[in-house]
Amino acid sequence: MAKITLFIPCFVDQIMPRAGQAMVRVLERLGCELEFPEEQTCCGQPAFNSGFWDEARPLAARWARIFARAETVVAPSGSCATMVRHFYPHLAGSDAGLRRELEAAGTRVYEFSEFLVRQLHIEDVGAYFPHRVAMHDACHALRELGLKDEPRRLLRQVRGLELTEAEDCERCCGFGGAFAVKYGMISAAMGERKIAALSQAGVDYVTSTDPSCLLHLGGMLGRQPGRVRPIYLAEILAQTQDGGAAA
Amino acid sequence: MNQENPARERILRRLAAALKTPTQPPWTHSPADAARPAFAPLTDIRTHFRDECAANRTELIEGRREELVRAFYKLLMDTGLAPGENPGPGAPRIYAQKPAAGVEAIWEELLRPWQGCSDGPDSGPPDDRHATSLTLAEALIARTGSLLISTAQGGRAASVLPPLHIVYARAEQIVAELDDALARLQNHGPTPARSMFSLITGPSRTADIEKMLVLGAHGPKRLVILLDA
Amino acid sequence: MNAARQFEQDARRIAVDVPLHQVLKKNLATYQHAAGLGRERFADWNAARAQAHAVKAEAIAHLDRYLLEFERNLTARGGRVFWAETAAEARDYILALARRRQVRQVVKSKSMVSEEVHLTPALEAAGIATLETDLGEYIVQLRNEPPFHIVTPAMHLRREHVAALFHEKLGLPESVHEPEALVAAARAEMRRRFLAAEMGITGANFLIADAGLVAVTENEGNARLSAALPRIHVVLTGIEKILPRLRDLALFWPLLATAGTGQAVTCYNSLIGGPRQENESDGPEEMHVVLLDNGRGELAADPEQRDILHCIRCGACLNICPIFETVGGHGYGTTYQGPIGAVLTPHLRGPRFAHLAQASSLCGACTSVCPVEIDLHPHLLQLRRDSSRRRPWREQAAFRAFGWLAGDGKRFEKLGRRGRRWLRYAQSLAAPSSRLDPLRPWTRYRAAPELPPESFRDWWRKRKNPAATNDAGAKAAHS
Ligand code: SF4
Repeated sequence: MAKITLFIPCFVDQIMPRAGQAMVRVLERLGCELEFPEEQTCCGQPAFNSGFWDEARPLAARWARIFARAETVVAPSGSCATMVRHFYPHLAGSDAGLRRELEAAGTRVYEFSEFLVRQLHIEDVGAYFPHRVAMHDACHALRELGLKDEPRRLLRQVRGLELTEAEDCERCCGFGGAFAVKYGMISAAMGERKIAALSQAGVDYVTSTDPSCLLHLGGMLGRQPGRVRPIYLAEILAQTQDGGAAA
Repeated sequence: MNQENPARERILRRLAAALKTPTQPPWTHSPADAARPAFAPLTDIRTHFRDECAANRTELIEGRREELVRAFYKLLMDTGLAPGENPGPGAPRIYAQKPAAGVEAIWEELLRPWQGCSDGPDSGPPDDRHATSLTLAEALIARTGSLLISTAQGGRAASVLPPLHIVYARAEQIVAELDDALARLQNHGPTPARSMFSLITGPSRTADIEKMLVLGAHGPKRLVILLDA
Repeated sequence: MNAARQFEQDARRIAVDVPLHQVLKKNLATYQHAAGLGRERFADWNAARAQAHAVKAEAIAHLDRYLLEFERNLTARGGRVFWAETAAEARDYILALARRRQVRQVVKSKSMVSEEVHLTPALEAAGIATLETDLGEYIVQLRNEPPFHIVTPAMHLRREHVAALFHEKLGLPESVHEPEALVAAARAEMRRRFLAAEMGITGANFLIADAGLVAVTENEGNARLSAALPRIHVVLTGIEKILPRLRDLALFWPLLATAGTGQAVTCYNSLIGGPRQENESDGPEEMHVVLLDNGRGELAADPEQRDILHCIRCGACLNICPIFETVGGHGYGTTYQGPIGAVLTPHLRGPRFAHLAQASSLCGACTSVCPVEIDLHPHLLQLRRDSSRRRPWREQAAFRAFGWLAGDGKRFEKLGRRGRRWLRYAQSLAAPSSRLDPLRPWTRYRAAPELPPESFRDWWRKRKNPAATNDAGAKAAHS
């Protein structure tokens, strides 16, 4: 089985480790050999997105160095995979050497569901999750990586899971990094709309290719009555009938 | 140097300098996509034209000459025009373009009953008394169910001012694509001599109130094509 | 108040305007449905977009040459071209023309450039009655509002609003609510004005270089009337509207219609190339085309963001934008709203509109629908980059600190652990979203995330090597 280098985004490491842990469990169950370079920190996306490219550039170069020898890099976030794969080269400016390095870095990076379905050609990971679930298409995974069907294929194979499509599933949840605090009122209004659609769909859980969306939606759901709960895709796939997801 | 308009030189000079630097490649798109065809070729031009007319609310009446003359007569009666020599002042009228070469006979036939209430470019531009107009078309386009007219068809206002616009056309005038119609305008060189053309696709409309479709916003509420098969 | 503060204040108010959001949701859903069906008429919508991108790229790359070609061919038919570097120059030209020709009434059909140069107020101030004749524009003019949307100016209104307005302004019975009847009333009112006006003003959707024609797209017929009835026709438009060849319209007409409304083509696509010719029976005595630069030339000098000039003002990016749907067209405080407004306005009106690029989640929906493939969300990123050194010092310092923090694995780990511990402690003291809550910007609208005692790397290390749990990890686990 494939040898995989884990790319754990900084916020997953610090705030939502369970998302990374679940991904590890699924990959190990499939027989992948995993390594985790401990020097890794942040890919630089927060700075890049906020316009601080000079601050993001060294982090990108650093990331490329740390992952230089990795064969296959898998991340539990479509957004961070997008940063490395699609946005890194634009940070290089006129530095042709750096551009080459950054371009090379991106070619081996995959978002989790993308890796399972497109690279390993696996859809059934033997999971069990007897709930009604709606998929929220995270923007970067959907529009930058073109992942629409991949997470759904995985979910369809989960025993007991009832996959439901909520209205406007491709609409942004309103997270957007610094935007969520800078323009919190807009971000929250977008989140409200998402939550209204999920409640309408009558699901127990909302899942996504990006834990960051779920952080935001989870925060909003935490403030209101209702039963919809956020859960990251790998957290569903990690659950098995014999309770395989127990920590 | 243009004395009255010094900005002209300044704008042009700024552009010339600005455009020396080549454009950077796009982030999100692949220029290679442009190599694929955007439209599938039409298989049945006539049917497509008919379907598109239905979709855009153009009333298409196909038939032989006598049938079209009868349909025209009925349309005008329904619009409130009175046949005969003297319909009286204030009565609704028709504005008809002068017939082009080759259609004199049918024009004569169509308009004969309406002598007393028909006007045309010779009597000045159309106005609010004209309840309907009759024109020809430069071409009909199957792809979109449209017709292309120019100022040769009774001027600029004839086809937009009256609430009912009637077009007489022959089936051979249908071309497949917009491109065919546009190419025709440049048959005699790239700059057409006429000062105005309109591609017309259905009657005038608006959806400005709650996105609800209402016909007859400023232009004709009804557009009828009499298609001589 | 500066533009950024004003935006924030308006956004805060509009973001909770439930009735407005209901109207928008309904109207936009209608649009999305129609646009989806419209795209299916193409064998390959993305091929059409790429072709359009290529045509516009060529047009802009040789903009100076094509503008001259357009001018030459239009003037050959007796049309006149005036080049305006600034909004004021465009306004003054039209005003002077109207005065010279004793114009007392003007009919206008939709032109966003005329909004950009504030033409109507200038004409009105000079005592020239100026009527917006596009139904949506007419409605917002009666309400004394700017257009809400570049394509659908009255998108924010329900028929009840229009009915009340027409009752008040046109004396229509209060009971008339049906769109059909409202449209008929407006038509009758405006028809009188059309027949009396001495000057008609329209915009342009395209300027065709090889044919010397101005292309105007509309559904209602008011632009055709504006170009047919008054004795003077003025076209006011931006220099970027060039298309090299007449036959390019075979692509651009359907493309604009599909993206704009979902139609196969818009009801009326007119081509106007001068005043009435000798062999023609009606039409204006004079035709003037005012070509406005107003910052576009400088934008052309930016090889990275030049493609903003490709915009055909279809409105598709507004219609899909969740920010637009939240703050509405009026929230932007600009002539052009939505994503195109956010990327164009800083170029036209300067860096005081840079905040618009910040007000985005960068979801990229706009870029995915733009029919001419403008890199809209990449431009938002670039504009953020360009404004980064003008941001508040605290923000700049924060990102510098973040760069330092993430520049070293050990440092990141150590400070991350301390930070989580400190935040958990602070949260235990301060009520969520209170002034003391350090996470207030987040918790103002959401519950705080539960901060885990153990990071991913702690967990990984422990798992790989359960025996040799380092003391840092152990401490974390017990805290
Ligand atoms: S930027 Fe693109 S989508 Fe937006 S209005 Fe312009 S052409 Fe349409």
